[in-house]
Amino acid sequence: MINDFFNILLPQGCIALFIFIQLILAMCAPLKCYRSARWISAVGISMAIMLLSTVQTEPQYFAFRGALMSDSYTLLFHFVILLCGFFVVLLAKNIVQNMRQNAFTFHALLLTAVLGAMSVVNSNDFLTLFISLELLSFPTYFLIASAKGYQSKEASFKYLITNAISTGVFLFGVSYLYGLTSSLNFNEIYEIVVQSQSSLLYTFSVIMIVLGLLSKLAIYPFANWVVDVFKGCETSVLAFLATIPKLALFGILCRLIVFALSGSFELTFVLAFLALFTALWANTYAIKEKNVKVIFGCSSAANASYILLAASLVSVYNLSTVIFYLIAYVIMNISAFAFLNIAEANKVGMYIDDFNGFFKKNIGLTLAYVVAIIGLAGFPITSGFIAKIYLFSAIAHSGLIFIPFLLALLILTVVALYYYLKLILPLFENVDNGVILKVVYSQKFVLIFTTIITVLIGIYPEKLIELCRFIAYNI
Amino acid sequence: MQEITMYHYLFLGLLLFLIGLFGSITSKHIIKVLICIEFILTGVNINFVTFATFCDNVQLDGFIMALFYVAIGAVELAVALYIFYLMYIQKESENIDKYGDL
Amino acid sequence: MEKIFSIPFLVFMPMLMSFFIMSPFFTSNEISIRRFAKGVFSFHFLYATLMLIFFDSANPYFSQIHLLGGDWVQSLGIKFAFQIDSISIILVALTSFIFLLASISSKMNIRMNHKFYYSMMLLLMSAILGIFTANDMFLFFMFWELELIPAYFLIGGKYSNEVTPDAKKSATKFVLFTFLGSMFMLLGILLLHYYNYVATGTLSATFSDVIDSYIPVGIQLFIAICLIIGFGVKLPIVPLHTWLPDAHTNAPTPVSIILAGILLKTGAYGIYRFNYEMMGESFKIVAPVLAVFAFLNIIYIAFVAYAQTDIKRIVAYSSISNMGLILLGLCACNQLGLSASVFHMVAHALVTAGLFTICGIVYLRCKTRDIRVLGGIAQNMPRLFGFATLIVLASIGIPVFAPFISEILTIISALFSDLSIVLKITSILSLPLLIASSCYMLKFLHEAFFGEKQGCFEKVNDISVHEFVILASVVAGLVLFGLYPNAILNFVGAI
Repeated sequence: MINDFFNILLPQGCIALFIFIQLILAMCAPLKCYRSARWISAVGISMAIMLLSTVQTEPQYFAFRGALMSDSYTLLFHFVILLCGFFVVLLAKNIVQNMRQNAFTFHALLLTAVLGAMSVVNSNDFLTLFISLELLSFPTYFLIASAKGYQSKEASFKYLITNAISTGVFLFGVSYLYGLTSSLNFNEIYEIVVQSQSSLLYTFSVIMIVLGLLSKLAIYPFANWVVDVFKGCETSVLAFLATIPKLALFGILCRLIVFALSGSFELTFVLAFLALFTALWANTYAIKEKNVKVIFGCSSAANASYILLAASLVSVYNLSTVIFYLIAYVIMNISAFAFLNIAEANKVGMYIDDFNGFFKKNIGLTLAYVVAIIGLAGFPITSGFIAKIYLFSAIAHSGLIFIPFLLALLILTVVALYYYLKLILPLFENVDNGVILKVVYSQKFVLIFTTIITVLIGIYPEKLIELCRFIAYNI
Repeated sequence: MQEITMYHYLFLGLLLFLIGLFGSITSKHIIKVLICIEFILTGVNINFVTFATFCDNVQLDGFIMALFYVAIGAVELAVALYIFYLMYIQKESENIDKYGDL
Repeated sequence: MEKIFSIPFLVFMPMLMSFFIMSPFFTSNEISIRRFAKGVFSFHFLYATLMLIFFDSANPYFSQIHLLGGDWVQSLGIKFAFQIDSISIILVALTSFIFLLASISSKMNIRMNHKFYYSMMLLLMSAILGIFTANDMFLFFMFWELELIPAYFLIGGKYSNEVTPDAKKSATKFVLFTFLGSMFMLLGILLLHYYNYVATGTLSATFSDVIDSYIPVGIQLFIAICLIIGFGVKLPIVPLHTWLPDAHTNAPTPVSIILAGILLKTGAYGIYRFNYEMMGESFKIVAPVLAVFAFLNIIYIAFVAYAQTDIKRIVAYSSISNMGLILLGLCACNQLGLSASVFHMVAHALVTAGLFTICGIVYLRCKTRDIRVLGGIAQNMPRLFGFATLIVLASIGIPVFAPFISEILTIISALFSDLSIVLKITSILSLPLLIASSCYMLKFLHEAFFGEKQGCFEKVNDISVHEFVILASVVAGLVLFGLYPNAILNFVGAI
């Protein structure tokens, strides 16, 4: 077991250590040291990133008799999850200032959620997957509820109920799969599935499993929480919520679709239709919206549905597309939420009209935000453009029958452009708002860094695409 | 009387799951929603234990899964009740319609 | 030629200058921004003209940027490849010229937000040059998308103290409409890319690598229709033209010049490159239908334009009509038609530049664009009247000027095309209707300039030096190409 620990679990162990440090400090640290919570988390995450190099990936490594596995795919996802966690920690300044005595607890929860996300991608067994999913979601409930005011509690409750129901659905599917194959391990299930034909019960269980997992991604049956939860959250928690659960879930979903759930081909159509409905619902809901956070919620649901459509068409090419789009999307989202965080710290309201006329006094910040938004919409010179082209070409390569889906998605992208434009156009109004945003270095760093990465990937995506292909090939 | 086969247990599990699913989606009383989530939990657990008894001869994973789900379900319920309590302070009502602020 | 001139420099220099102007390093002094921008535009025009002069038709110029030793996106076969052949070089030079004219015209018309305006102009120029020189389908698409944001800000931004409440709405309509069309275009490009890969085994998006003959016919037709919908929003084909009158009317004058002069030509260029060159087989099937739409363009718009009361709107509708003529030339599917449409692209760009400048001058002086209120400007501004007469006569098709040549050649090419009887019928029918289209232009001239002088126009000034320069160069260009059309026709390789 020590062997397992040093081969796979060193980064996760480091995060766990820092969770304990935060908890101990929460109990006994003096109140005026609350600022150090953030830096301790940041140090912890960077140590974990450095320790990623010790993880064994070359031959795939299975730990704890097959419960966890590690290869280059999981390594990449760990890196991106830790990177996003790092950015979120840097952004979480205001919320910690509002609740000084709970600063350490907040960061302990954040680190726990990051740990859960990492374990999700690592898991090779439905039991481990279930525990990791819960490890990811429980701290999220508290993180959402930690903002001041009643709305955050209601948001957290809605998220909790939706998650609880979807976990039930997920486990129901798992139970039938367990009955069919008498094993919970992904590898063993894959061996059995490969040898036998697909039966109705197998398809049913597969669909239940996937439906349960899709709720965190805001796909159609479980999509309604996005609107309310995103409205009630604080922006730094939003930055967490929009990126890390998606990364973790798409990581494990792709692995499942390729291996354990590959026996049923109805899954492809179910996922494609769900993706289409979600895109339709999300994009049309956001047209009438005036709250910036809700628009971001709908955009995250819509983007998740695009990725889902590509993920459902199983092939190596498509998987590299999914990974690339995820990375590009996550970075652009963090960039946008960094700007919103700056705005919220300066007591700017979160409606579209509250952003009037920012361009006059804060040129740099506004331009960074505009780059992030047009990247999400798919305009050139950003990674969003390359990601969209790559994704749509993957769908086009998958056969004639998906052309109507592709056409529908393209038309919905146009609708999405309408509400993305609604977000950035008020910035350029000629009203003299007079708001000069005060920025802290950490927020500025996050914003600038992510914007630069977005534009860089837009101009030179080749290395990243090669990396994604290599990983998808090795899955 | 016929023998009680595996399918009877599975039917029981399915029934409980469906009752829980329907109830949690359509209830108006928050505590009812939470209890229906527990119904889902019970149905799933019955499934796991049934399969572990009848189908699995090697590793008895199903029992372990059921055990874990019970524990985690309890934690989920505790968290839900706490957050409901925080909401209840504001609104003083258990009717889900009154909580429509967002 | 390859050693001295570089296409990436041509395309990306305006973009870099645009970012430079936007950056905080640059001064906010209005005069120095304007001078710097004019310097950039003039230098660019000089560069493009030199490229044109030294161009060798038999040796079209290719260029490809290898980013750090590889293609742009190697996994999809997308390369950063540029090319200029005889048609592209004409359009590139035309773009430079039109932008230079627009920048001269900007002195009068732009009063606020100079930094932003010139930065967006340069970015738009870079995008349009990229469209004309791209050698790769996805690079083409990238530049096609890139032009949307600068165009939005140029149309909908606030650059003077007049109140144009519809500017933002028409700009949004323009962006959404064009984006919708470009999504159809993206579908066509993706399918073309994929089926080319299936048919030939090479994953490449370069224009020369895409051979369409192996793609099944049904798919070819579907791709062709998707592409045509995409281009048809830009080169307005009649059902998809509704964005154009609003966008052209509510934009400031220099932006209207660029829109009508160059942006519409990108649609025609797209149809030429994709449908005519790359997918020639399916184009032969689609061309008769397109010819009917081109005919609709010419006549329907002529009738609509006659009823308009806003002079800028009349000019905008005349643009749609002329683009219909260009489309008809392309549909003829022979070399004469192609050269006629390229010639008309140049001629119409010049005519439209002149017409919009005239509208802009009238609006600046008289503060109104309504044709029922205007009248008798000729008495106060004789020089403007002289230029206006010349340009309006040119747009109608009077022999000394360039559009006469292109109209005649288009009709002849459509008549002699052996593609289908539909083309012959449309060409015969459009000849008298072209004459009918002169009605609204003459009405414009008559109502605005002749007649009794209206009282409110007592103290208007005649045209200034800048406007004189623009109008004179437009008229000179029209006369030059009208009397010596071989300058362009030989270039493209006519008859």
